[in-house]
Amino acid sequence: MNTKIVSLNEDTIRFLVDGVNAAFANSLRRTMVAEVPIMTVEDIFYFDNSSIVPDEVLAHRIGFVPLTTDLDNYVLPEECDCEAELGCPKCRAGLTMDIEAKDDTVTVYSGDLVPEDPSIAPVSKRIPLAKLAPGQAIKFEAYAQLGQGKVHAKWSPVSMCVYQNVAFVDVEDEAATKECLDACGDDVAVIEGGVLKVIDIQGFERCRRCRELVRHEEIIGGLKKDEFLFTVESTGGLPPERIVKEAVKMLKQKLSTLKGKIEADDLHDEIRDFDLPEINEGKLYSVGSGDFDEDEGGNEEPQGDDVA
Amino acid sequence: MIVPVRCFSCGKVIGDKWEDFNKRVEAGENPGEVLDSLGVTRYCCRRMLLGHVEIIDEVLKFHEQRESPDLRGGIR
Repeated sequence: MNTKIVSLNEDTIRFLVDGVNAAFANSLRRTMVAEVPIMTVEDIFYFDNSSIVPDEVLAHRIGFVPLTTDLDNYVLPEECDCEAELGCPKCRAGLTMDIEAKDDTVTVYSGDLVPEDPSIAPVSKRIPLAKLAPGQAIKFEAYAQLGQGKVHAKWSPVSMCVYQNVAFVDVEDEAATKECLDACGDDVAVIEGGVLKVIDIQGFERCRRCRELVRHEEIIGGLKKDEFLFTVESTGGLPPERIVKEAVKMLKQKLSTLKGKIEADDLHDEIRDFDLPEINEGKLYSVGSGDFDEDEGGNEEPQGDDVA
Repeated sequence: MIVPVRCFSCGKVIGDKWEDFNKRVEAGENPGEVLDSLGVTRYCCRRMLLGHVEIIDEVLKFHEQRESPDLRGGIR
């Protein structure tokens, strides 16, 4: 298996992997989308919200604000030994907001979130969260946790993670192709030993001259089954290359767990002892370190006789 | 009501690009070219900004007016 980085900038990495099959490529993709953890806000305690954006809508928006993630110093709440309801300094980071509109209408931005730990801060400071008319105010305390994309999309570190096959095409007019390629750049296609290697099919076909030189059917016919171009676009929580590295690490660990179980012939017991996961009624999805009381409101005590 | 933080389909953060986009389009630039320069390449993300109407500004007028009674008129 060989990998080669085609391009890398602050939010996107494109790299080639060869010598693997589509099943492996897909498991790598799925690990990046659903397993690599990042930090986002999970719990919010409002002290004041007189804005026209309701509490739950504002909380939902804040949850989707990507936060820079420090994977080395934080652990997933379910793997933390604190077992506290709201986590401990090892598994959560606090953010606060206290903003009031005095004389003018104010737009509340993600940059107004004040992080407790400067390494866990909003990636973009310019995301509008709410707007306040004069006299309105928002004040809350928020707790960010690590989480996985399989639990909620806000925890997915990538906004795009795709792979596609690379194609090899025989070219008739090598000189003309070479000239055309010089203009397109070598991250789109290269000539390797008289054969044209199309790395990025869409990029290649965006150029009208390339499209005339090589027909689309030829590219599709020349797809190489075991070489892939990955494109990973980060939401900003983690650098894109780190997402790939973490995904490989997690995949490796999962496979070694599976291998250990197969070797120890542990699999059948696991299936026999399988219990349905408990459904946490407090939340729409099961996550976090514990349960909590939901007594707020809804406490309809029977009225006394004198009311009637 | 207010700009979505992320693209509904792919999850790219587009909330932080709205104000810039809106200002430049109102100044007369071609929306497509503005989106290209903001790095919004996929059509799922492009429609998020192209089709958005900031209704919160209209709703906010009622709340602004409440605080200053001498402000005349309502919605334009």
